[in-house]
Amino acid sequence: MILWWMTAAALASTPVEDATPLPLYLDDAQVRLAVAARAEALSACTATVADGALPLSFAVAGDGAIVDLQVEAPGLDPTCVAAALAEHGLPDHHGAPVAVHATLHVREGAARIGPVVDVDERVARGLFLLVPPDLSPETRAELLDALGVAESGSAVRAGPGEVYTPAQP
Amino acid sequence: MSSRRSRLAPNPLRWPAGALIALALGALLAACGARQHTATHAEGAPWKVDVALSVDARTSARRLEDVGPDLALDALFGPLGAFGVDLDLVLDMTPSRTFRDGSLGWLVVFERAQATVRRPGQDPVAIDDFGLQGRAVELRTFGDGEILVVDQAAAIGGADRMGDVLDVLWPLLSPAPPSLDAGQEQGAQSRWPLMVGPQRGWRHTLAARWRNEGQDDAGLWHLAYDGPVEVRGQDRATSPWIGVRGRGQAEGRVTLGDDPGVPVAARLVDHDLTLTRTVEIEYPHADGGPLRVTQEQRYTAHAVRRTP
Repeated sequence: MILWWMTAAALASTPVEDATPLPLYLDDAQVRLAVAARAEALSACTATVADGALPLSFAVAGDGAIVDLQVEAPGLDPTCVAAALAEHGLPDHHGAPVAVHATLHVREGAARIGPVVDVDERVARGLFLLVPPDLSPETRAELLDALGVAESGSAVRAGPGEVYTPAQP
Repeated sequence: MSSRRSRLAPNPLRWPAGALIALALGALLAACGARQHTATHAEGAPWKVDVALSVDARTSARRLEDVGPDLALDALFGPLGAFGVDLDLVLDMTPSRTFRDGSLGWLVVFERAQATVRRPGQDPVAIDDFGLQGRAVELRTFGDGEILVVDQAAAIGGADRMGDVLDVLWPLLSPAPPSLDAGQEQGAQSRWPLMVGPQRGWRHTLAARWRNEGQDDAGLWHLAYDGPVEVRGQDRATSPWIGVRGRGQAEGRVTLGDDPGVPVAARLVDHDLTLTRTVEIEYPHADGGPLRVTQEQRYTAHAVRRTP
């Protein structure tokens, strides 16, 4: 009972005006901000890397960890990139690992992230029908395709980011 | 069983006299500060609810325009003919915030969500993780249990994670009984919406007859209810949109703690719920022409709050 009152008191002390969603899941803006802020740290990994635009993909796990990193270039240590991206930690969240696609630009050893950062967005597809969870994703997709269920409720962003070439000095 | 009045449905806008003391304690808690990160925004003490939920389903489909025998349809719905799913869920519930209208937010995390699929004549298939585990939503209710919204349900909905068809979880966690004397019966209507986006989701309405079966020696209140359920919904991700409607029957038994000043969701001790519903879903864009799918679903659910 006392515990409940302490809880209730904490709740009652800060009533909120609207129903702004709790920040349970990562959104595009959070990811873009977090990734853009890592350019300086990434430069420590690219000091000896030739100029170029490198496709960069990774996922942000629920605890904010960087997983499934994919970036390749002669002289580039992916573990250094992973450490730089995770230096200050990405926000933790309740979603499945969030796939991120961007472009890592290297100019004279300095790194920057292209302005286009794509974040895969899951869309709840196939409502109301109970489908057994042991169906393979392919079988489930075939079923939903045949039912004419839209693949997106809103725009789905997926795939590699647009290659961006910064203006030359 | 005691015969005194249970005050089962406290006015959510009226705080008891202890609120002043509570507010002082709240200020103390608030001063402790909250971590500024995405996943955990809740304040207050969490608790866990174990849920055993089984659902049996039988599916059939027919074209809205008669095209005679349809082998493609039979092949398509073969895997959905008759099956059952047993779910083992552990839900972590934490009071998250109070809204100005007096309603309360509860952060509900699917700490565990494992499934076993049953099919006639086949060995059961265990699924350790079908995508629901680890996800979270905010359940917003009034103190009397009335459900306003399951916020961010897009993260749990869809044919893969099943969160939309597992909507029975929400009235299971937050039943809405009327205020009754012991031995008294009364009708009460309750609703639970499950929306995964604008104009994407469904709403159930339960017109229940509630009975207060009295208070036991431990001070716990026992209630029972039953009544018809109506279902309406739509998925406007496509145009023309997918529509769903259905009817069913629900019955349940609820055990609540003895403090009318505490919201129902926090008083819940255990809850048994059986829901049988027949849903009809119309797919206007199905291959081969518009299709109506009928699925009979029978849910049996048992929720019990884990004691510390």
